[in-house]
Amino acid sequence: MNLEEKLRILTDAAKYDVSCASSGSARGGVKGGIGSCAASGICHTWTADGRCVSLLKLLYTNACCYDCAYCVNRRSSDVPRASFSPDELARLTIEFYRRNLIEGLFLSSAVAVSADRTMERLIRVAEILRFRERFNGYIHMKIIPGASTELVERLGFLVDRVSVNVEFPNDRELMLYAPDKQAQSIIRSMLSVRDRKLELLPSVYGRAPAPRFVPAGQSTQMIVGAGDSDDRDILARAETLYRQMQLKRVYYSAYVPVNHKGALGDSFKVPLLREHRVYQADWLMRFYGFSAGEILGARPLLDLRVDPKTAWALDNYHLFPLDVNTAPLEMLLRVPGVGPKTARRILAGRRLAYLSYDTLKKTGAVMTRARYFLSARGRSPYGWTEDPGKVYRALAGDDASGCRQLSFLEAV
Amino acid sequence: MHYLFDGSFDGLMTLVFETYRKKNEVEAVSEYMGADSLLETCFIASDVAKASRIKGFMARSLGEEFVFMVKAAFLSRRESRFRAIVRTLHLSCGMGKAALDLLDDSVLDFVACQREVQCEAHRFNGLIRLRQMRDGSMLGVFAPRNNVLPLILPHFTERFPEERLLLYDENRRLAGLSGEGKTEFFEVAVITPQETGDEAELRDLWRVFFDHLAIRERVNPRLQRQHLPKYTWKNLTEMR
Repeated sequence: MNLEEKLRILTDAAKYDVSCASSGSARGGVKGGIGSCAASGICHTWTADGRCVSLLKLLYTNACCYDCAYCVNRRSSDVPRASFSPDELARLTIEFYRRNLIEGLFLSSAVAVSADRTMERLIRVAEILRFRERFNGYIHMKIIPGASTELVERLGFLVDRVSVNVEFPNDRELMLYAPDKQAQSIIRSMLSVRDRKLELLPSVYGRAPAPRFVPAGQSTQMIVGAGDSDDRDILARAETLYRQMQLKRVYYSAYVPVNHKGALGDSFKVPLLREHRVYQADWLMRFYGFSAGEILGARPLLDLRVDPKTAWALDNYHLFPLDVNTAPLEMLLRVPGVGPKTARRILAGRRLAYLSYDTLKKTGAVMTRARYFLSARGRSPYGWTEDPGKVYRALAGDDASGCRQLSFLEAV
Repeated sequence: MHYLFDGSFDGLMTLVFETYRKKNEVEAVSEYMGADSLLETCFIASDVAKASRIKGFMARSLGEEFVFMVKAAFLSRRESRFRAIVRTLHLSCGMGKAALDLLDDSVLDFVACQREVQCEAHRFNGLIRLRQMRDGSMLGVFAPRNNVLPLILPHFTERFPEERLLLYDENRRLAGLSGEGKTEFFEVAVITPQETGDEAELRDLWRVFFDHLAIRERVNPRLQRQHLPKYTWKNLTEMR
């Protein structure tokens, strides 16, 4: 089998892993080597589905001995199988990197023979890149569920980020759909990475340089809309992972039915909007100081018609309108249409001058949403009303009276 | 008053110095292109000593980040960029960095100019495609809207310390050369690349990877164009 064919098969096999970030590591180039890392990460292109390509995302092999219902590479799936050799992967990575096509490598693998055997192969690839090729770019590798902690640790010293997918918000579903994976072992490897990273914090080392262990931290992925769990389960799980496991990112992927005869059924629409709302809620937890419980209030599922922050603000309409000249940062961040940058600009701006309603727009606030929730000097001329229902209808795309503009082309 | 200068960074800094006492009269600032305007204009000649006083003030009182913002704004394609820089620096003479927090139109324009430049520079850090030439050097041709080459070249120099690099801005016919610890900028009329035989094979492999990475059920060309505007396509292997 030639390289092109392998690349085709193993790209197809790897693409359902969402993560492609190259952020979190910052280091300069090294004389005699190749590569550097930008703290923000760098995207190199965007595919037809609008997702960014930052890393060379591949599977080492797709010949899997597990049989997970949602996965395209499951043992019983009828797809062509292939494996790279460590040298082929190293060459592809370096040659693509030299042409500025990628930030580095994201390598995962099907479980071939055993978890430990597979992990050893991944480690071999990382060793070739780091030691033989003197590659200083970004490497993200998957921890194979069930691999021993010694191997996880060895990998951690070679790469920037590791991840292991929890796949489902609760262990019951994991057992049902991925009978060969054990929730215990997934959690165990996450914990071991977290603890080792804490032991190696630079502060422990004082002036001596601390060894680099998974500098960009860990991430994981959950499938949205495959099992019967609701958004409450998903967000609660994500919150636990952020707080207890200190994950850098939780990714969510709307379930794409790849196995039509699979256990999850096939009369199915990919829940892209739901995935989008879950991401918005995730951002609220990470950058806006929301807790999972607050975001959902009394509902099990996020409102699909308005974003979760607007939904929260309408549930708590008695807190508004907020005065931009006196509201504290935590509350400004909770105003729909105001992000961290705008909130900071409002704080800085009002230190120099009293803000009027009309200068608000210059701070970058999205007034189509923010006008229902803000006032300045006691005035709130364009939006605020007594009735949150009216605001909901306006922001969900109906006008205030609940009517909608008909389209000339739309059938009535 | 409509002020003119020679187009150089030092020239603009001299202008900031010279107009400080008349700072409320600066209505427009542009580069002198040789043609005389019908409006009343005033040409400010570049003066290294005066420019370095302003530069010294910036380094001392405004901090590294602000200085970088001024340099980025200077590379912007917007016509209003010079006036925005001059106004912002005049304001910051009294209040330092806090001038950036003013919700003043010139300051907002300045912030927007430098932001657009820095965003485009970041975008092209990822989008420039390098090809290996027969003499072993790597060539990257791109066509940015703003003059971002001076911001981009250091990133590439750092990333590829062992390579000889030539980045070429087609729109300004400006080339940046880096290698053996030196960087250099010069104007080049035409470039005729002579690439090695490996390039075609690697391009094919990249296209295979790119095409197969998209998930069919999620295809969304609008989202793709939003991140990857069409003006960048002609130099992208995978979009041609």
